[in-house]
Amino acid sequence: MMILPKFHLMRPRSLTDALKGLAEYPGALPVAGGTDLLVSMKHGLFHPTHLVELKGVDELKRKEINDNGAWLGASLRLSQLRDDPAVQQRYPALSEAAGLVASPSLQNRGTLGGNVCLDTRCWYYNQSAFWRHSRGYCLKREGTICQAAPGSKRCYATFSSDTVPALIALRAGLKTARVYEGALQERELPLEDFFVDDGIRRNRLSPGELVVGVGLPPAEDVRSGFRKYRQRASIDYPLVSVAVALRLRDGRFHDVRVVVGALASAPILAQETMEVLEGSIPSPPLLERAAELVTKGSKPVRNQAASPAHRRHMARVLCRRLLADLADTTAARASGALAHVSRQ
Amino acid sequence: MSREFQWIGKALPRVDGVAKLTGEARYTDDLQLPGMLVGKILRSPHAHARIRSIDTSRAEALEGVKAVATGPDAPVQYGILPVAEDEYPLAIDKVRFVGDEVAAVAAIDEATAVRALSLIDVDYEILPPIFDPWEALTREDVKIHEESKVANIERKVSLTFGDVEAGFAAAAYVREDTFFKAAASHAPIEPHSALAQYRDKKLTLWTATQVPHYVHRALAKVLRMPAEQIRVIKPALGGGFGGKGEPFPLEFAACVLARKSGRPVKITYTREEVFLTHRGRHPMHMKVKTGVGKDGTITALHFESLLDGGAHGSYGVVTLYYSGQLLTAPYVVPAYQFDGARVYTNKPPCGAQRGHGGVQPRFAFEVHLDRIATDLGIDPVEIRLRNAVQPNTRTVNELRITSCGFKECLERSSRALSWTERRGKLPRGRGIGIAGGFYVSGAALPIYFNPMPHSNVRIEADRSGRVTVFCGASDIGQGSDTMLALVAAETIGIPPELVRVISADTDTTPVDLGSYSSRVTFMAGNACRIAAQEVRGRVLAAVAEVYEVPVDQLEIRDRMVPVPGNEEKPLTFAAAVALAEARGGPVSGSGGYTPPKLAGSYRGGGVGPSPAYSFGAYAAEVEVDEETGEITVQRLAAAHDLGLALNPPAAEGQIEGATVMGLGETLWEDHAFLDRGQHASPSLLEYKVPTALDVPDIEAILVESVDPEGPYGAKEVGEGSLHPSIPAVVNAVYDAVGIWMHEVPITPESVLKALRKRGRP
Repeated sequence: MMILPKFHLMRPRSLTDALKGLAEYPGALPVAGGTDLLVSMKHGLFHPTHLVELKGVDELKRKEINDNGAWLGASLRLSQLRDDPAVQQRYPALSEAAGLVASPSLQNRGTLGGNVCLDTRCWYYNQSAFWRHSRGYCLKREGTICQAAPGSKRCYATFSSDTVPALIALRAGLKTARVYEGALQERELPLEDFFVDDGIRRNRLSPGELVVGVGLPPAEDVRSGFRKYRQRASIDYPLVSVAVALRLRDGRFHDVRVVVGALASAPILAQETMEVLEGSIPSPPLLERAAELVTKGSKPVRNQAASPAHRRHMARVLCRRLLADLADTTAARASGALAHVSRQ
Repeated sequence: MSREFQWIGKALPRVDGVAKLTGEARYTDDLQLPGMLVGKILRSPHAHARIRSIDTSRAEALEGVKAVATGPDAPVQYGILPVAEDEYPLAIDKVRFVGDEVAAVAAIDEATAVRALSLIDVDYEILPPIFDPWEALTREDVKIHEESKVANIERKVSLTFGDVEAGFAAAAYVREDTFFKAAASHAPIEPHSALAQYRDKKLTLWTATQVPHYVHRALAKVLRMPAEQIRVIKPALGGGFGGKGEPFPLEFAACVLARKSGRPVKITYTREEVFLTHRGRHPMHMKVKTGVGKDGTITALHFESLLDGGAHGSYGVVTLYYSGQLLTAPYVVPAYQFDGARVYTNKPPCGAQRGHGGVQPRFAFEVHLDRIATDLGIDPVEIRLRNAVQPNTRTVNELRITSCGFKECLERSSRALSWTERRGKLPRGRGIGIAGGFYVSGAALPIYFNPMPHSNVRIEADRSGRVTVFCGASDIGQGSDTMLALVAAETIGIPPELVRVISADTDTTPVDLGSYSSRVTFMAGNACRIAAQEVRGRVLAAVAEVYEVPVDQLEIRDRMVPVPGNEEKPLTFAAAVALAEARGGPVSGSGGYTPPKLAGSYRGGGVGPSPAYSFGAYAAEVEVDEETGEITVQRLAAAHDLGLALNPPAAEGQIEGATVMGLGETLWEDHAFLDRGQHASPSLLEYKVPTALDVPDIEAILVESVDPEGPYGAKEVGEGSLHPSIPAVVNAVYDAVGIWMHEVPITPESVLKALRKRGRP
């Protein structure tokens, strides 16, 4: 088996102590479920001097869902989001997405904060030290060229979180905190502004800064859903994913949000699709046209098993099918209930 | 059998089931010895290179490092086949694939061992690699093995049986197709692991192997030690499927390091190393040409195969022969020509994997046969029934067919999916398909020539009533220990829980050749039955003598030996054993199984013959999403003629497991490499073995033809059960959406491509 490199484990009991720990040691990283980080450490991709374990920080486990919206702490387990009746009822896209991350056992360990901060992924990056040494290192770690797109100056590693597209569709706001020069700094921003389309940098988190939780606006009349394309019915990361949230009022789409995951190094808010749908009456040609636009501007590279063209094709299919399900009340309910067992 | 079975045919829980479920079972990596060191292997980062020099001095100087080994520490070639001994435990002069073993270290802990590997300096001269088998077939300026006479060809085979030309001339219709089956790997849940101890000039190796006997022989040869000073023990084992079916570098390296350091050394592979060790399914390019009469009767068959063997021989020569030899049934082929070649490439070696050699050609032929049936307007079940091989016949290449339930397999699997009512009549996007297959119950010839039995069993009973079976057979999860307990219990007449099985330990158990070729139930089962009959005979003879009753009036039943005229004082089995022990010392019996002489009369006629063949026919139901290209297999009715089900749930488990493995190869698994030789998916995340959610309903249908030579009529069930699973699905896809897939795995993209092509005028 692969061995975990040595590190100091810190086990703070409060958010302040956790942030102080992260501020004090520049080589420290936070760890919650560890389902992403520990594997990468075994691969030699991260060498933290300290791991700040967030398990004992109760402030990060708060969950509040009511008519005014929701607050979801960063340490909530994905299975809690999957199973919470209030999440299922008000924010089905999030419940579906959480239930499609990896497998049930990993959903029991992985957390919301971890999934929001999930590292970008690539064939040439998520490999053992031996493999990368053999192949040649890449831009994202230790190398000077992109192995997936050798002419490129940037890294194309793929944004792979399942919950984030759902959260962005649901208009989530992100709250972060850090201790900087001894003082607590907090900031809030729309979740879509957190991400950067750069496989290396991937988000705007500063050193020592921690995701504290996610806020959601009221879900009144909002219909939402999440679809994921992967090879097998479990375990796999997305080859592409689509999240949609909208209202259906007077027979027309309103407040439409469509987000595509796993086609770039950041989630994509599909503006043109949203514009076409906004205020329109659902019809098969409309959904078809809207879905066609969902991949506009995305240029994934071949850095995993399926071809970029097929991933884009699947984004359009999933988008149209999801919109059709959400436009149809009865179908929307059924698809939500079946999301855990369906392949997409 | 005149008497009714007491235990056979009923559900018997595995003898190791509770220990495995509770975690109590000890696998090789669970073992700890005092002072044990951790071993690690340095691997080549290059696909093809000459080693100019290796400097291990920095690694040796590292604190905590106790021994370092390189090729010259064991400069003796070995290989599972005597005709292909082309491997060294650690590379000498050359490396031939990314991951080839170069050096090994033993250190006080894993971190030190890993660090030591980074301190070994290897000076490589990079050589051009060959990854494409077609290139390997002709390229002369690059030799992966210097010994290859022509290009990089390991072996070429041409066999002809009957008058092929006349057969094609007589055909009313001739069709030719090409196919490709990608590589697959075994992906057992337990990685390879070996623990070596060298003490008082004696070597003990605990290792996760399917073949303790071959490992024993190879160690003696490579380590230049007398075999009687070496002991090989196989602890509980977590799956092999062919991937643990030959000696491996970690076994030699652990021994060499233990001998050098004087301390026990354990090496356990990472998952990536398991994939690099490979020995899985050969990628195979195939061409099939068949002539048939108007009614679909086969008149001639010509099959060509090109096997991409990877860097070493492994089992490959056998794979090559099997690829041709196993196409002459389950359909009668009156004239047959086979041309095949296996080439070396700079990739991890391919070898034997469940269904060895026959899986790829079976996929090709069954799809090809469906195309012929479609061309001629014959129902796919009907064309198979018309050509079905009959019991007690010989195939054109001299395979002796005895028991054969193929027709019943076809009838029962097709009926399970209501074939007649539904084939060709389901709504668009849904379809059903069928395919057949057959496989050996062990090879009639041993891997190395010798006149001894292929399987030996010794059984001892003592006055407590305890019966112990000793056998070299390797339980690799398939349940052979349970099978031995069952056969011994049934034969003696005692409950299986009275039987203990000690297996796969070269110091205490008699030789069995190993768990491969689906041979253990048939061969060890027969040996066990003979040994148990002797024990039974000795016990009953003693009772007959003491009670002065004819021995043929005695039997052993329910732990008792009822004696006519002595009903008021019942005699227990234990007391009966005591009577025998008092008369002649320890009560034991031994049995050996040697297959009948079945080799063909031609060169190459040693691969293919088996004392019995299993047969199978699977019907699959699929749904194809024409927009996404995704295939969902909904049901599989898997009928398999296993002779007789000794333990039905175990047999059903084998069929289900093999079917799932076949499904993985049909839809997902592709053991591929990047353009510079790196493994494309060296993890269970990226190598797509089906998950529980991907598995359809499987109905295992046990067809019992009762083999005249099998133990109680049993034949193989673990490997042949994979064969029909791939083409049944491919043929169902045609029924669903009208496309023929000639390459597996079938990706959604390839389905969409085929649909577009079909759509064009």
